Amino acid sequence: MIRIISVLTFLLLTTSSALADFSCPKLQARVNDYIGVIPSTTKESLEATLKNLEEKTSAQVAILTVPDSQGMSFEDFTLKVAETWALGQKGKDNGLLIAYTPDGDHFRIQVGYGLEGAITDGIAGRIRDDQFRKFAPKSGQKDFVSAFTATVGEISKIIYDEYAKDPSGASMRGINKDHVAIVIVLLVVILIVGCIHPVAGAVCGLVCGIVAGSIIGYAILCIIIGVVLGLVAGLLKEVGGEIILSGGGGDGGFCGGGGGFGGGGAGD
Amino acid sequence: MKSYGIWIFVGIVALCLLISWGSYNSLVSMEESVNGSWSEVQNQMKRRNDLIPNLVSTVKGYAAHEASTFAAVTEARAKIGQVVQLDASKIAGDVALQKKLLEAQQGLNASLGRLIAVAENYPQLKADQNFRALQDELAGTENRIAVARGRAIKAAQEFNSSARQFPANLIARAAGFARKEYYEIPVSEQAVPVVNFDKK
Repeated sequence: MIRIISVLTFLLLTTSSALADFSCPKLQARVNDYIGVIPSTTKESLEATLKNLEEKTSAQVAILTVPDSQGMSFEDFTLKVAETWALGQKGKDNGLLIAYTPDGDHFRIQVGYGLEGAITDGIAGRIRDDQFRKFAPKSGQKDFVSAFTATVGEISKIIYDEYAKDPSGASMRGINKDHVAIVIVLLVVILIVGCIHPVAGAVCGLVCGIVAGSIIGYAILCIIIGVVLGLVAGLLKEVGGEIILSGGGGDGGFCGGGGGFGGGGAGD
Repeated sequence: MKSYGIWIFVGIVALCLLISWGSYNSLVSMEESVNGSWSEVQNQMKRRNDLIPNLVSTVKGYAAHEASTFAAVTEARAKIGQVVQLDASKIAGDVALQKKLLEAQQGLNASLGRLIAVAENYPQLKADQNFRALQDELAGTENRIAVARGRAIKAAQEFNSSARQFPANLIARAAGFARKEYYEIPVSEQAVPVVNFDKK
């Protein structure tokens, strides 16, 4: 077992050039095996387990294997991927990324803010040692099927236990709910006034835009949106058209829910 | 003709006021973001600091006589204790304070490196579950500090960028928003002390 205590990660992250070139691997499914070490039967069973986990607890766990970490340290790389994929529900930040690369034989569990209580760095380290590295030791014969299956099993177990204790989910971070509520109210007001008369709607849009701008910033943008919305609402009503609102995206694909990551977890 | 002129003038003044209002609020929000980011760096440093006593007592359980090593750690810990109490809004624009933060951190890392190296001579300590968990926790906090610092610098860059654009730069100057300087570690200083434990 290699214990590495390095200063490199914090040094690397403090230079803005570290943000320069990063092409994020595509999030295709919950299991993203870009080095082809997970056979399809295992992939299916892991997908099923993780899908079940998300349905029952809302936690989003994904697996990634990549041929290399694009010149960055594996901590940096996995954090960037986890952030880009935005695993975990917005506000709950209950995402987790299990990542492996043969380039340096690195493994990492990157834990979202919301799961840090259940999966502390110490626990993540234990999972790395007892579940992953037990079957896929550093510089040794690797049984990825057992390694990933055991890792996913243990992580699911911990998350289920945590969820059983507190079904409402972890910490509420992220966008301010009050701000969202106020902006929605303002939008509705603009639409209603706009339906009465386009110019009145535009003026109302201007005023509401100012109010929204001072709350959430981007005042000019808010004002423009408000005025346009007021005018459009009024004009559309006069034209007498019908607005058909279509529903959300399709079913079946796996997308990140907008969760946040702080850099916690463990790896080697 | 004259009445139109007045209305146009009023309209322009109103527009200027609105834009100023919006810019000012944006700058306030961004400045808070920068301060908050530096505060987060301090939080993570404190969190790392709080792990140390447990680590020291675990090592003492196996290697009680390594007095000088423990003394170095205690001293480094005290320095961290001081810097994490500084006001984050002061750190946000002050390169000297940021350097102080960094030096305290580097001092702690150096003393910790020596402490962990002690374990090399004590196989029972190396195998101790608590010790191993603490090492992961320490590595985790180190990564978090790095991430927090990176985000603080990014927030500072965004603020500076916004505060330099027109018309926000006029508002910034009028309202007294200072540029948020940040300290980036020069490439020459990025030497890496790495402590490796290979399983024997």
